[in-house]
Amino acid sequence: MPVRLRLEPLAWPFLGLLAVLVIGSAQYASNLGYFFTFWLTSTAAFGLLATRRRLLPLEARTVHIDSGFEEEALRLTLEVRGEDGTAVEASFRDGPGSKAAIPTPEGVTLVLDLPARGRGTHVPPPLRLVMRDPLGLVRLERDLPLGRRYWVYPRPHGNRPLPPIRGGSPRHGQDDFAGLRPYQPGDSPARIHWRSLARGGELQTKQFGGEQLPHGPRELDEDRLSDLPREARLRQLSAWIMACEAGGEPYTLRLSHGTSLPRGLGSEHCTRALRLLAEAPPA
Amino acid sequence: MTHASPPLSPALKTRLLGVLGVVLLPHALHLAPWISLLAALGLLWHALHLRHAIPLPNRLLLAVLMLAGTAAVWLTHGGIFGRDGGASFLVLLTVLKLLESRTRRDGGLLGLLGLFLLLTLFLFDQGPLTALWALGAFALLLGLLGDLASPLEPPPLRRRLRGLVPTMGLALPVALLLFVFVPRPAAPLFGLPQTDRAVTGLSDSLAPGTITDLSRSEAVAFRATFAGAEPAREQLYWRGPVFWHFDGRRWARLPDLPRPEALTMEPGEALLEYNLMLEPQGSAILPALDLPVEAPEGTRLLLDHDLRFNRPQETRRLLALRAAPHARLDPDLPEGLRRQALQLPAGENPLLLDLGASWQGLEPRERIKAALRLFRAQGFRYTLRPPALPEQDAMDAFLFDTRAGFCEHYASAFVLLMRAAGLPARVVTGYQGGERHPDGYWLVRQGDAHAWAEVWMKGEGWLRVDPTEAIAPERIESGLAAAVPETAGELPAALRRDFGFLHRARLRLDGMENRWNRWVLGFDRADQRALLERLGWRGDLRLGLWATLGLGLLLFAALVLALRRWLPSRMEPAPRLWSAFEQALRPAGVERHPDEGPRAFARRIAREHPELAQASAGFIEAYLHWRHAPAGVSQAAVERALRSAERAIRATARVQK
Repeated sequence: MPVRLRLEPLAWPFLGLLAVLVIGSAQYASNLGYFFTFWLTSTAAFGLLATRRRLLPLEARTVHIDSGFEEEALRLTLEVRGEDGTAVEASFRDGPGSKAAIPTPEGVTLVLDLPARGRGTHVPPPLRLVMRDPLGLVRLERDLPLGRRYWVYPRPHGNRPLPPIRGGSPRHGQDDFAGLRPYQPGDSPARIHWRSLARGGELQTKQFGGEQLPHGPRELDEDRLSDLPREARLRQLSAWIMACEAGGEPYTLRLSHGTSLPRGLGSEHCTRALRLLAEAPPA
Repeated sequence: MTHASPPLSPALKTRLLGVLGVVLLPHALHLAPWISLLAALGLLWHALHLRHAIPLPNRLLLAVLMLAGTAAVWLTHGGIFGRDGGASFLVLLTVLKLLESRTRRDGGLLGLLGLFLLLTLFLFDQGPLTALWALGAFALLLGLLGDLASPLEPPPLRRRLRGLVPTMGLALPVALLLFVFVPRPAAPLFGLPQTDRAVTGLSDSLAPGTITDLSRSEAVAFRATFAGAEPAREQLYWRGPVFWHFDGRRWARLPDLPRPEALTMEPGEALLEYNLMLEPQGSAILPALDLPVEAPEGTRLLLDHDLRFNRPQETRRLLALRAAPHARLDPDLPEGLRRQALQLPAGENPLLLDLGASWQGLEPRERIKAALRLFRAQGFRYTLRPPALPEQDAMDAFLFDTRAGFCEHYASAFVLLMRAAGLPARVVTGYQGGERHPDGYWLVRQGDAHAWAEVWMKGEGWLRVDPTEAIAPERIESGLAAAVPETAGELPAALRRDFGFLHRARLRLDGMENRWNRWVLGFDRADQRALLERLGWRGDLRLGLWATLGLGLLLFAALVLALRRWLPSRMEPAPRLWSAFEQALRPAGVERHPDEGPRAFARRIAREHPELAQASAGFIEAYLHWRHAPAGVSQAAVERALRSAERAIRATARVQK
């Protein structure tokens, strides 16, 4: 990965100073003048090399990357490791930065604001690590690609009512026990058959009244919203998902280009559903 | 893309103030008091601003101060480009800039101004103490620039300075190489360096009192080191300006003319070789041991064999010279010069003229003896406090009335007597003797200044005659203090040499100063040439220097690279080993993705670069074992695995080529 070198504004006056010092030392035949001028020059050169040497082994590891809705502030948490005492500035290319001095061996944790992006799945822009040489004459920049993706979901928006629960109202009372079936995420804890778990079996859910799914899922189907433009449909679906999650009601998701998600509830299910919305191709 | 420079934090401002204070302080020793006072007030204002939030002057006031200050510097020093004017102007600029500095960029410029100011100090003084102070201030300034460059608040000063040590340490050998091998110009680049310093020393005119004044100065005139044989003290006549023309009061030199072909010098046997380290003296006068054989670079021999610099010397100079103590100078004297050497002021000193004329019948040598006998026998006194002489017929008054004088009185009277007796003669000034330093050099002070005579005899040329020797032989044998016992108290301690312990301490200090002057300040083109000749180069100086410098830098770079492999790195061993491994793979076009763990990386190498799989897996396995179960695998084993992986990767690369 190449290191880019940019001159800081101080570089030009510094070069001018060196020229004046050499000329002055020659004019007055001042040996101490020569010596300190040369020392200043070589210190600047070695400072540059030392900075490069500290910049090159810097490592950045993504600790956490936020996914979230459009227009939400998303952040990236990084861990940067390098030689002790290295003062480094980290930013996204052209983005606002963050400063840090790196202690070893722990490294330093930095939090950066991800740039605002539209709906979709994104890779964060390359991380730019910047160090200045010890005299402040140049900046050395190194860009590190960051591997992890993040998703920007459609903003929950829309006022369509939730689709009805499939199967309408139950024919039998909820008290009529009908049997056990394997647990599915989203099942209400009240229906978990704790006794079978206590006996060492797997987690099972009680079924009632001959109903296959006593709390039938809400079918969040994009086709129900065919009168809306694509983005508005996705936003409405996003709003529905959040409503179902808030109400603890399981839901299925079907998008008009054929992607679908079976019944479920809970944060993992929600994430999968929202990612589908984020990744949905534009109309 | 330009960013607004961030503001200076209070901690940075405090450090800026402190560092600039350290840089400015020694300038107070050299600059006009009002400049020092102004600088102190500026720093105080800034300090009050930091401590008690007193507002800083606004831009208008600063501009007015700048204009007024520049004008005042101009009036004091006649400009802002000479040494004194320039340094004063820089001090002014630095202090006013400090008072208007708001951003880190301003701070950086101030740091550079501070470096400039620091190095102007050497135009005033290059002694060891100044160098030591400058070293400290230099490190502080570099640390300050580091503070300003870092995006963080400044770390404690000690940590900042410790952080500079590796960089400055590595840079030091390079600086020394540059110092030794960068070719130096032979002469100042533009005209004369301007200094307004008043220097005591020999001058280009001579009147009664000229040398007497000098004799009270203990300032060092020069130091001389002989390469081989050393003459006796009474043989040490350091020859300076030669005087031909007497107007009754003052002696004057001839115009600076080169020696014509007609004049010859036969150096004879037993030449003396020596180095002369001459203190700055503000004139072209070059006191060289009687008689200089040839003129080194930058100097020339005048008509009267007076060795002089081509330009006034504002800096310390080191010269390698040769002297011919038994030389025969000008055995044939052109008629014009002979007449000049017989010149007498018209209508003055009739008694002296009569006395001289009365010796005309004697052999030339007898005439000299007659004059010396006169001085010895007639109650003449050698004194630092000669009675005042009248304007008219001053030499008559001296010879026949006061009979008390210093070397210039005796030399003048003697030359006039010789001329009256028909022998061409001239007055020579310079230094006589000096102090033999235990370190093996001769230390000659202004107080050793002296005047003597040269008399010309046909076929023999110019002969040195020192009339002082006739009156006060102690002056020549053991120095001034012995010759004027009653007034020795007026002489400075260094010339009296009577406080044994103190004098020894002074001599020791002078020994240190001499070494410093010789090897640090005196290092010059001649030393560069000598060094190259010792390295076996006899060609063009510049070419040789540049080539040697390039070679030296290459060698140093190779040394540093070699050492870096063997010296322990300051990095933690684990990241170091791992990044060395990645480094080895890079030429093969294999790069780890930032988020790829070691195992995933190994799998991908196996998939995409099967030829490297075995070499990589060996290292990665050892590395992971060591990381996760350090008891089982030693670091040395991982190092070995790394080296064999590096070898294998290189071998693969060769096969593929």
